[in-house]
Amino acid sequence: MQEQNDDKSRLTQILPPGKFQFIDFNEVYRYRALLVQLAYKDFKVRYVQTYLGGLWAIINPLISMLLLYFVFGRLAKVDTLGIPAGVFVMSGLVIWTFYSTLLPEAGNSIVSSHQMIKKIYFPRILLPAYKAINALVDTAVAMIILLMMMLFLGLPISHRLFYLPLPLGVMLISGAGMGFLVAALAVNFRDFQHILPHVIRLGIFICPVAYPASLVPDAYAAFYFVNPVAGITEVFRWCLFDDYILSPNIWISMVSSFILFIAGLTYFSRTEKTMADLL
Amino acid sequence: MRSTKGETVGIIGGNGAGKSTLLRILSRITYPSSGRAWTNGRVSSLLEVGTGFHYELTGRENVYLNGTLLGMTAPEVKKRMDEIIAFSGIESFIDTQVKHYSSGMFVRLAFSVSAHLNTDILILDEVLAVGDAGFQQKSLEKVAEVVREGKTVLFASHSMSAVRNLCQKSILLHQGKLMAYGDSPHTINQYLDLISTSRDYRFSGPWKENITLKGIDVNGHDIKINQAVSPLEKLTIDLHFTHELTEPFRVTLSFYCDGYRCFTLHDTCFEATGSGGFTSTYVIPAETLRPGRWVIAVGGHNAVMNQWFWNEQADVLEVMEHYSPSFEKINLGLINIQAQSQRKIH
Repeated sequence: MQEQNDDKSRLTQILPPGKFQFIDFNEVYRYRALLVQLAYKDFKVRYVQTYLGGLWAIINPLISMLLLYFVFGRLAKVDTLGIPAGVFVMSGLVIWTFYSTLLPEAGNSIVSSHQMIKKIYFPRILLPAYKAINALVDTAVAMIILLMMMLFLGLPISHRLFYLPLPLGVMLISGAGMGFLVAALAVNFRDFQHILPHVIRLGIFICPVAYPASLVPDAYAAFYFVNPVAGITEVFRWCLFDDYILSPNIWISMVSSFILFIAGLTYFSRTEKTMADLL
Repeated sequence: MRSTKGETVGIIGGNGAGKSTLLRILSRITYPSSGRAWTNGRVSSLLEVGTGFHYELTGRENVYLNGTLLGMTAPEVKKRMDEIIAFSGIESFIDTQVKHYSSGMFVRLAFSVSAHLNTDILILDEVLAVGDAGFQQKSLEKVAEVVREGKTVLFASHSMSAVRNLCQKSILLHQGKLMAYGDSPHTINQYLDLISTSRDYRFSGPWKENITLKGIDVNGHDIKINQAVSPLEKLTIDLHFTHELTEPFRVTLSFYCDGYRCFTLHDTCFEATGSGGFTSTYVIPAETLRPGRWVIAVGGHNAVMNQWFWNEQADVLEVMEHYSPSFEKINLGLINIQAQSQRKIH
């Protein structure tokens, strides 16, 4: 009976691409098993086949941390508000890792799956979406490294840790939005694939990964927080470190995260129908 | 056109007629530039077997990945897992990575997943041409079973016999337009009319650019003029080619009736011809072909058969209904062969 009811909702209208149809969330939900399978496939291929396997998930953020610690903490001697520079950098990297892992993968997700897209129908949005799940794994590993560092150095962990789902949730939303956007952009403009790595390389300096946002002059602060990563990183630190002071401008980041998500979804819906023809 | 539940519709037409485009639109891979289509129920399309398989994953993991990609939910895949593995016949390798599979094993497993989809509308594009003959037979039976279950099946094919056997109705596409829609035998006949008037001599295959079929002569006259022959006359068929191939090859001439390849003739085996033009001649004894419409397929290949060219529907030869006491008018099959028979009274 249940299956029959389900079938009734499956009248599908196929229209020319000019007619705008928004992503069908019911359908995406029906394909949820595929999301899990795709994420599992990537996870296995990425880590299980290499000699050091899952260790790479730990080694990669550690190397980034050491580099940033050396440049910003030791050479530039950035004021990290009383937090040990290594821990400070690592806390920035937890958030940064999510975006820096997700965006190149999402940007490539549609283009590299051209064979599937040309032969089988499935909600295309699952391709950038599952990359977000995989990036969460890297973020979780970086998070564990950070907590171990804090325990090792005897740093107190703030009771505000319970608020952690808030910045992480907004991170997922803004990251997914950016993922949808870059995935669709890479289909429409192939040059975008060459631009994206530079944007990400620049991002680590634009975002408060290795320095606190309070270092940014007040005159530019509002503009600075248009970047969702800035606000999310700051709120994340506020959840971990007791004395961390938040800028009143972080709400701008929250708003821009949601705008990015909606914009990403809309642009992706618009591009989805022509993808098989453009690839 | 409209197709209802439980109908099996064949889609026929020459290369570039729009068969694949129609299937791609109905499977929502690409979208129409104008016009609309509606589908009611779960649509699964098999435009190619094995898309989305990942070589690093095991067979079982790939069944999950491919199954969900084709629209199954995780419990549905789980429920059908044993059936899928049994149908593929590769039980002992199911937990081995697919990269270690032979291409035959790969195709078996991939088709097996596709064959066990729980779907209302199944869209098929020549996917039956996979695997060895035994597996092809199994695949065709599976499709027939899907048809019996009352599913709607859309089936694009070059194989007239498969269309005739599987589909009650067929549509004929030509240059993106619907030319005919009706009972399969009727539509197939219209398609044969179309082949004989369009005369598309282009080849497919690795050598398609290197050899050109210039013309076909029947008993010394161009087939355009001499399309209908008497069953009583000896047939001399000349195929005129130009080519730039250096490797020795032979040219084949096949005769199809009702979609079945009835017989194939070869010219001189594997002789280097030099570059330029040549004519291959085939002689068929009188009273061999029985009345009907014969589709002529022209092709060729090198000694190891890894290089070839092929045109399955080069032209149509009509053998006229001309009956005499030696050539009876009852259905005696497709061809007459030289044989002897006698009766001994006890």
